[in-house]
Amino acid sequence: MSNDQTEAHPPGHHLHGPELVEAQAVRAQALETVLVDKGILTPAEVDEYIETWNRRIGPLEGAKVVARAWVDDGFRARLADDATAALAEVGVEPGRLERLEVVMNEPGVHNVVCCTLCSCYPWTVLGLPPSWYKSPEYRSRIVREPRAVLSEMGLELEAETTINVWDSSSEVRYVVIPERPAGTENLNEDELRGLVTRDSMIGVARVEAPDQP
Amino acid sequence: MSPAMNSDLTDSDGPGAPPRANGELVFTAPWQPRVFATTMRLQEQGLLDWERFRQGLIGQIADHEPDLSHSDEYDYWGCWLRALEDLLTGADIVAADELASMADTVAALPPDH
Repeated sequence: MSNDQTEAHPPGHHLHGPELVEAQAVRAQALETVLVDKGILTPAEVDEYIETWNRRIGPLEGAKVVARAWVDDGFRARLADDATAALAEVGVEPGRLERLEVVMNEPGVHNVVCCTLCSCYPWTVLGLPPSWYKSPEYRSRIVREPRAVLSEMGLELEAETTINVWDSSSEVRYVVIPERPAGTENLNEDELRGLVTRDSMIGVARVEAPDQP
Repeated sequence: MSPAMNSDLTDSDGPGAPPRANGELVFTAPWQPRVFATTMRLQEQGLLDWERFRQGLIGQIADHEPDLSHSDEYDYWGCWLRALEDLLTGADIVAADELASMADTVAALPPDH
C-alpha cells in the first residue's frame, strides 16, 4: 500500500460522497499526469481511447454477431465452434485479453452472464458494463436465484425453462445469443441488428419484435 | 499540462455511448473513464500485467464490500483506481511519493483548471 493512499485516507476519517469523489479525482489526475510526464502516455491517447469505447465499440459490435447468427446457420455453427475466429467474419475484433465464447438461447434454455469475482465482461463486443452488472447484489444473487433476479429485472421465464448462469473469468468471457423474436421473418440482417440490445446479450432481457404498424 | 477535468462523458449520446438507454450510467465522475482508458493503454503497451491487475481489483473489491452495509454507493472505480496505483507503484513504474506529491499539486490547482 502506497503512502499517498494513507494520506488520502487518514485513519479515523472515512471519506464519503462528494468528498471521496473529489479525493479520487485528484489521485486519478495525479496518476495520469505522472504517467504523461514520464512519456508513458499522452492525454490525447486517453481521450482517443475513451472516444473509441464510446462511439465505435459497444453493444453494436455484439449486435452484428447476433444478427448474423440469426440469418446464417453456418455462421451460427462456426460461432459455437470457435467464436473468436467467427467474429472476424462480421468484422468484429475479438480483443486480445481473453477468449470469447457465445452461449445460445433456445426454447427451454436461457443463458445469463455474470462475474462473481469482479466484473469481467465481454468489453470488445458489448462496450462498457452497466453499473448494475458490477453491483455486489447482481454478482451474488444471479448465481443463487437467477429466476428471481431476472424477474425483478423484468424478464419472466417459464418455470420449465432451464437457466444457465455463466461466470466470466479472465480467460473466458461469455456473450449470449438471444432468441430471434417471432414476427421478424421479413426483416433483413441490418434491421435485425437494430433490435438487439445490450441487456439481451448479457441475458437479462429478451429481444422484442418491433411494434407492428 | 494536466488534462482537462471537464470531459463529462456521462452526457454523451449515440448508440455505443455509456449505456443510458436502460437508465444506467457507466461512469459517475469524469475521472473514471480516464482511469479506465489509462489502464487499457498501459496494458496495450505491455506495462501492465492484466491478470495481476485483475487480481488486485478483485482484492480491492473484496476488501471494500464489507463496508457496504450503509448507504454508500458501490465504489467500483475507486477500487479500480487503487488497484492500478498499487500495481504501478509495486512495479516501480511510478513511485508512491511521486504520486503523493503530484496529488498535492493537483489539489492546489484552482477548481476550473
